[in-house]
Amino acid sequence: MRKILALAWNNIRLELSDRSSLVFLLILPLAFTYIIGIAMGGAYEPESNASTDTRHPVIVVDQDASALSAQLIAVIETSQIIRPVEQNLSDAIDIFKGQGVSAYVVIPAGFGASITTGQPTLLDLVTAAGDNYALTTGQAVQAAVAELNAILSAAKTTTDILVSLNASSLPYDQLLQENLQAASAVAAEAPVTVLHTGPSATTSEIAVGFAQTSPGQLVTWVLITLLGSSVVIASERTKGTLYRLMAAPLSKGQILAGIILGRLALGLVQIIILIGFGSLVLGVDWGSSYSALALLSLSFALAAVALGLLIGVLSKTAAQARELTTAISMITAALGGAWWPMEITPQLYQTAVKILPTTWAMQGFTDVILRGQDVSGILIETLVLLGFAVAFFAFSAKKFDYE
Amino acid sequence: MKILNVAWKEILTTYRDRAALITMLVAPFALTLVMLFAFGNSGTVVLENIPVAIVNQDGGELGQALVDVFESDELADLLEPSLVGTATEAKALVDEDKAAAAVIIPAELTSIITTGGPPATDALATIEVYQNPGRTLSAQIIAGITDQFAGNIVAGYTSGHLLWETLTASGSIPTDELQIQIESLVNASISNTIITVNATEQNISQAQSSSDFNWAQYMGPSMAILFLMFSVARGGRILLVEQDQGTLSRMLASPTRPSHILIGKVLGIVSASILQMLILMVAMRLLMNVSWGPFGPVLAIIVAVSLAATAWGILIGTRARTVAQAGNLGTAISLIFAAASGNFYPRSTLPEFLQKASLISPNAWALDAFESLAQGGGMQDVLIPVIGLLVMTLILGSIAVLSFRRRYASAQA
Repeated sequence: MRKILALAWNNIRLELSDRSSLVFLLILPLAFTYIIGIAMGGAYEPESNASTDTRHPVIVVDQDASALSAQLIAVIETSQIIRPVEQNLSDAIDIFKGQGVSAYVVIPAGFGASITTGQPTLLDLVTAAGDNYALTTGQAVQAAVAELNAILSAAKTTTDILVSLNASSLPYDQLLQENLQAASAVAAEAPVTVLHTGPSATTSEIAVGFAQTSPGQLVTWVLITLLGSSVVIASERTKGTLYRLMAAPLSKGQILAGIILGRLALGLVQIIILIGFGSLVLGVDWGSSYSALALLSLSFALAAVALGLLIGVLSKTAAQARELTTAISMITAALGGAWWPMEITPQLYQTAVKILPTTWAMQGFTDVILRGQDVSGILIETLVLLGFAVAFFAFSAKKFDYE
Repeated sequence: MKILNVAWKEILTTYRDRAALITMLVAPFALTLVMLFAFGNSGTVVLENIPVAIVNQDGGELGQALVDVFESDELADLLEPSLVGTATEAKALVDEDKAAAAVIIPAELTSIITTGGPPATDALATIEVYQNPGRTLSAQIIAGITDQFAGNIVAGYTSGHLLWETLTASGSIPTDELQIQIESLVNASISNTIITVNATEQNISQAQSSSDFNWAQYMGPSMAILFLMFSVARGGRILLVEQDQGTLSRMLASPTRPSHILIGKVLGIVSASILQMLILMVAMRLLMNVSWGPFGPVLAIIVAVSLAATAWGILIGTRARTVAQAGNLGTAISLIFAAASGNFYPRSTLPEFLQKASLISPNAWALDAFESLAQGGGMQDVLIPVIGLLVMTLILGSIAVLSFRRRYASAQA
């Protein structure tokens, strides 16, 4: 075992002695997680509690500044899907065009006065074409407006009836205001409510932005690192160092184990750094079961390093191994759901990509992070990943040659 | 002649390397195929047949009304509802990722609203929407539909409750007529829309702003450019490989001027790159029916981006100290350029600061040009990006030549 550890440590030292390796191990994964997170909508978080409030921000431009416009904003605030963020029109358009939000609402000047005088009032809702969340945010704004409409209609109908029956001595406007307050109080205590829940043990909120991109980027970059074992194998073989190792009192298994262990350690350290970055800097909730996260990470790392070994064994030169590593990493990560959510792809696609270890890794990470699953909830994914590892190791061992 | 010999040898070496062909041709072709498989030719995400499990524990009309909403013809394409016996079964379907959400309608939903007389104020009927966090978009659509339905119930309840209290207090309507009167007033109240939402969709990305935008026409060349950068970075490494193997010194010792060696190498790499792009263009046209646009402008972009990418590759090759370092640096720069300039998403959907910063990459200029072509543009629309790429080539090429001269001096020493 000491020999294996010595070989592994030597491989780690060699890798880290080249400072450009750090670019792949650290700088690129962190930069990509951040950039892709921004592109997927995780950047615009204007409120101090944004890290805990995962509702989609919707900008509200209140050009009326009346009691009724404030009431509309208060109703939107009660939504479980969107949260209102007040801005002026110019900033709203800038943020919208910069892809910071999926929608903005303009409450026009005279909004309150029109309602009070019984005039139909228009509210502008602008959603981004092609934005994944435009439909849901639009729906939520419509639901909030429907709720305010209900209050207004109830108050107005009641006021009209009281006036027609001569049942009140108050002027119309004052009576309407009183009924508006009464209707708001009734609506607030309505006996019907919708509760949004989810399977996560830690939160019922749906994760967005960085929470979606962090695991995807982790799978992509750790895969690149671990498949890098192919370059080590191919390079040692072409340089003849593998052949020279034969002279040492080491078995073929020990040599392979040393290379694998070194690369595995790098991959696992990278996983820890990426999880820490996601959690501490980007506020991503990585679930409540550390043991499940560790088990899944280890089985994914084993499958990936074994695949790297196989690529290394099959490659004739280190350059070839490097080319294959880049191409295979990117294609399998993309296919497996690391770049986009699987739900937006056709069913046939979802079934077809189950042949890849990245698909099972992403499924496992989704189970742990978003569904709050523990070890028992990711057993199937773990076993499949370990199965991949065994198959890749077995095939590599069969094909392995010192020269 | 010597220049051409060096260039020809470079092209042959590149196209004889089977692993290089995977990066140059197979990978971009495969990724484009995957993108088309996943998103279709439009590139737009269209959610359909979202599985939703419904548990209707309410025997009354409101529970059935909510079921009817989910089973309506209007939502038939979007949703795939299924009635499930118990909440546990429905939640299990979500946990097993077989449903995007479970909607659990409580037993008391109808009775709590329509008991007649003044509604009870201490009771509460909660409709639960148990969402699948792995299907964010689908789950939130289901939650939104349920919210809107509940909003309508609350509207009726609010009108009914307020009218009951007001009319009872006024004593103007006999008690036996009150219920009928209120029902008719509530219906009138609900249909009275005071605030109307004027909903509009706005195209915020340049790519989407044209109805002629062809996503496949953008994504095909985008993947080709992504892998062009990888292969050119490999080309840049060649100098270091030759130096390591001693062949560079031997060439320099031959009666060939160093500038001819460099020009020959560059010409070889550029030619191999142009060939790579042309093969991909033809293959995508023939095998996927994906056109990159009119040939003239496409050729101009291909030549310009190949030159600019080669300039980057050579610069990396002349600045790096070892082959491994050049390899890492080349791949890193290729990946950074790809992420920052829109190789994976339409460029115009990226934040503005990234769009500006990414103009140091050949990818950004070339993607701008292909975006114009995807919107039906022609040669005049790609001129600025092409000029941008040529200027980039000039600047980077000059720096690379200076670096090469320094390296040549040390190699001769």
